[in-house]
Parts: sequence; structure tokens; C-alpha cells
Amino acid sequence: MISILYHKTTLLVLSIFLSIGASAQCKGFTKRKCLPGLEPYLSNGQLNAAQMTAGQNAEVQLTFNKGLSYRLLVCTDPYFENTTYQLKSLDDTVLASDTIKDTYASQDIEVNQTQPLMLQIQLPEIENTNDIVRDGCVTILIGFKED
Amino acid sequence: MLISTLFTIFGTMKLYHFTYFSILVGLIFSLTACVNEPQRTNSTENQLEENNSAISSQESRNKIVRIQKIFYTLPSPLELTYLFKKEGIEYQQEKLHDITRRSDYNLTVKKALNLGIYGADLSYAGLFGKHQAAIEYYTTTQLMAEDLGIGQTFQKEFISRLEKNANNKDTLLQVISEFFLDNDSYLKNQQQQDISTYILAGGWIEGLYLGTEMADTKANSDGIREIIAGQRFSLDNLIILLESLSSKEGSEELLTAVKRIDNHFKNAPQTESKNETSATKKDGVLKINSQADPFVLNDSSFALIKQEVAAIRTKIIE
Repeated sequence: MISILYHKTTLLVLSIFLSIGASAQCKGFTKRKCLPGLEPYLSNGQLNAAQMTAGQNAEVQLTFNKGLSYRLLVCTDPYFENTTYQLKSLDDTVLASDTIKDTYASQDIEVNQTQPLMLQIQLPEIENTNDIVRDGCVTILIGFKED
Repeated sequence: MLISTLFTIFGTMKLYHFTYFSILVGLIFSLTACVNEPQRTNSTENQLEENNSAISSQESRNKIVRIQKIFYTLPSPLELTYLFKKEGIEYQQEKLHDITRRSDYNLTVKKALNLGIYGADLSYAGLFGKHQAAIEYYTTTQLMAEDLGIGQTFQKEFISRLEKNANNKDTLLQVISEFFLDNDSYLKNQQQQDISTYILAGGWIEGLYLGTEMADTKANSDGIREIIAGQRFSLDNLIILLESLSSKEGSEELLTAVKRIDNHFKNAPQTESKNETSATKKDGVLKINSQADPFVLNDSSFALIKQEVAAIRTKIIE
């Protein structure tokens, strides 16, 4: 009985601290693995990042301005390989989609009119073989430069 | 509960279990200490349903509900300045906020809004290659950030990097961009979304202020009016961000004023046009084509928006 309790408690402590540790490392992950993919574009200065778990989804509303070139970068923990994203207009037309095969996928974009677009990200369902649900960092970065 | 359970375990476990447990806990604490950063929460998320990020049983795992995280972004002041500069605005130092006023602000909300304003001025000076002014505004924004407890001690190396690259505008812009990103990242990491929102709001207002003020000069007036008209989309995001502040104290007036700008946009005459959007790829670049006619503000709408933006800016810096 004590052994089971001991096992579950250590598992719980491990889960909590791994979660905090993983979360705290999101900033470092973004700097190391994601930001370099934005070059030579300048970051828009906003970090959209979250700790997420398999099967979850995220949305970001972005405005793209006529006269600038943009780079959209979706970056995930390698655990979330095969994360998909779609870029949609407000009338729900899919303008681009991709699957993340390594750490990130990027798309360069230009618009003929300033317009808002919706980025939807879907994390893959991952079968768990142990008792811990793992989370990981998902980051969306926007860079821009002159046409 | 957890602590009493741990005591029970400590009291009864065998020595090798205790050793294993101690090593495990020690390792976890060491790893966490090495990171030495607080837990990140995503600042702009809407958590539609509750969830735990670590769940340790099959039963609980089945109860995981899907989170939909929604982020809202605003154009950076640097981005707005790029757009306005393309339309021919010129550098006018006298339009920028006076750096000697930095110490006038005591309330956190005021400090954050004015940090946003100085940040936009820094972008403006940087993009026009005004290095001395940029260094002064950079110093001001760093001191204000430090005053707000944004946690980055004054970074002399950034200043010396700017001084060493006095003729390199790209380096200057890169440093400015990194500064904004570092601050935003730090604030979101510290669960200080409200401060991040106020900084973004101040920067957006100042960007719009500089653009509307300079539309009267030699710049392409229609081009500038089109850029400002395009800001109506970002305004929607700003309103959502301001409405989602955890503490509304000090923000009601700003929100009301921002909503007035929104009404001016909504009341501005706009031609009915197709709203179809398509995309093609050329040389790896996704070209998005909207069939909608360009929305250029007419004189009266532009004047109303300009007046409102100037009034908000005056209120912020007073």
C-alpha cells in the first residue's frame, strides 16, 4: 500500500516539476530553436507562446499590411512533430496549410490589401505509453521587412 | 495533503527507497533551479475550459478537455513606422515625447503606457537612422522597463553595441526588435499580461499619432490614410486585449477612448466591394489577393480619428 502511494506521489511530484520546468524553458526554446528561423525578418516584438498538450489547438489573429513582406513561423517542441496549421481569410478560405516536420515551419507572405487573417494550429493526437501527459512549447512568431 | 503524504512515506519507506526518492527530488529541484525562471503562462490566451497540464492517471487523462488558445497581436511600432516611412513621412524630432518626462510617471499603468510611447519613438528614431536620438530613447525605455520591474538590468552592452554600429541601421533595428521581444517575453513569463497590454497600447497609439500628425507634410496623404484605415483590424484586437485586463483600474477611460476611434472607423464611408480572397505562390512567397477595394479614409473621418488619437496621447503623457 505504502509502496503504491510512494510510487504515485513521486509520479505526481515528477509531473508537477517537469511541467514547471518545461514551461520555464519555453522562452529558451523559442530563442534557440525558433527565432533564428525568422532571419532576415525583424520580429514584431510579440511572443505568442504556450505550453500545450497533444490534441490541443490554438488560434492567432494577425493583420498583414500591404507594403511589407512577412514571415510567419510556427515552432513546436519536436514531440509535436506533425502539428498542422492553416492560414485562413475571415471568410474561412484556406490560403495556406502545412505540417511541421522538424521544429518549425515558416511561410513568407505578401498581401495586396491590408487584411486580417486567422492562423489555426492543431497539435497531433499522441498515444501515451505511460501515465504522464507531456506538454511542450508552441510558439508563433511574426517577422516583417520591406518589400 | 501532499506534505502529510510525503511525511508518511518518509516515515515508512525502506532506506533504498528513501535514497532513491531523495535523489529524485534533489534532481528535480536542481533542474528547476538551473532554469531559474518563473513559470510561463501565455499572456494572451483565452482558456475556454479548464485543464491540468500534468495528469497522472488514465482516469484523469480521459477527462482532459481541449483548450483553445487564442492570441491577439498588434503591429509593432517599428512595423507601423516602416509603413509610414514608405509613404514619405519625414523625421520630426519635435513630435516625439520628451525624454525628460520619464520620471513624471508614478502609477504602473502610466509607466507602462509611456514605455510604449517611448518605444514607438525609439522605433521612429531608429528607422530614420537618428542614432543619437535612438540611443537616448533606448536608454529611456530601458530605464523605464527597469523601473517597471521588467527584470532586465540596464544592459550597457546593448548601448555599446549601438554606439559601435553607429552607421549600421540594420543593427540598430535588430537591437530595438530584440528589446521589444525580450520585454514582452519577460512580462508574459511573469504573468504580467496587463503591463504587456498597456505597453502595446501605448506603442500603437504613438505609432498612429506620429502617422496622423505627419500626413499633413510632404508625405503621400492617401497612402497614409490607407495605412491608418488598415489599423481598424488591429484596433479590434486592442479592444479585446483591454477588455481582458485582469484589473480594469486605470483602463476604463482608455478603453472608452479607443472605442470612440473604433466608431469613427465604423462610421467612415466605405464602398461596397467584393470580399473574396485568393492566394498564389511565387518564388516561395504566398501572395494573397483580396478583391476588396482599398479603404482610404475621407477628410472628415481622418480628422476625427486624428483628433481622437491626439487626445488619447495627450492624456497618456500628461
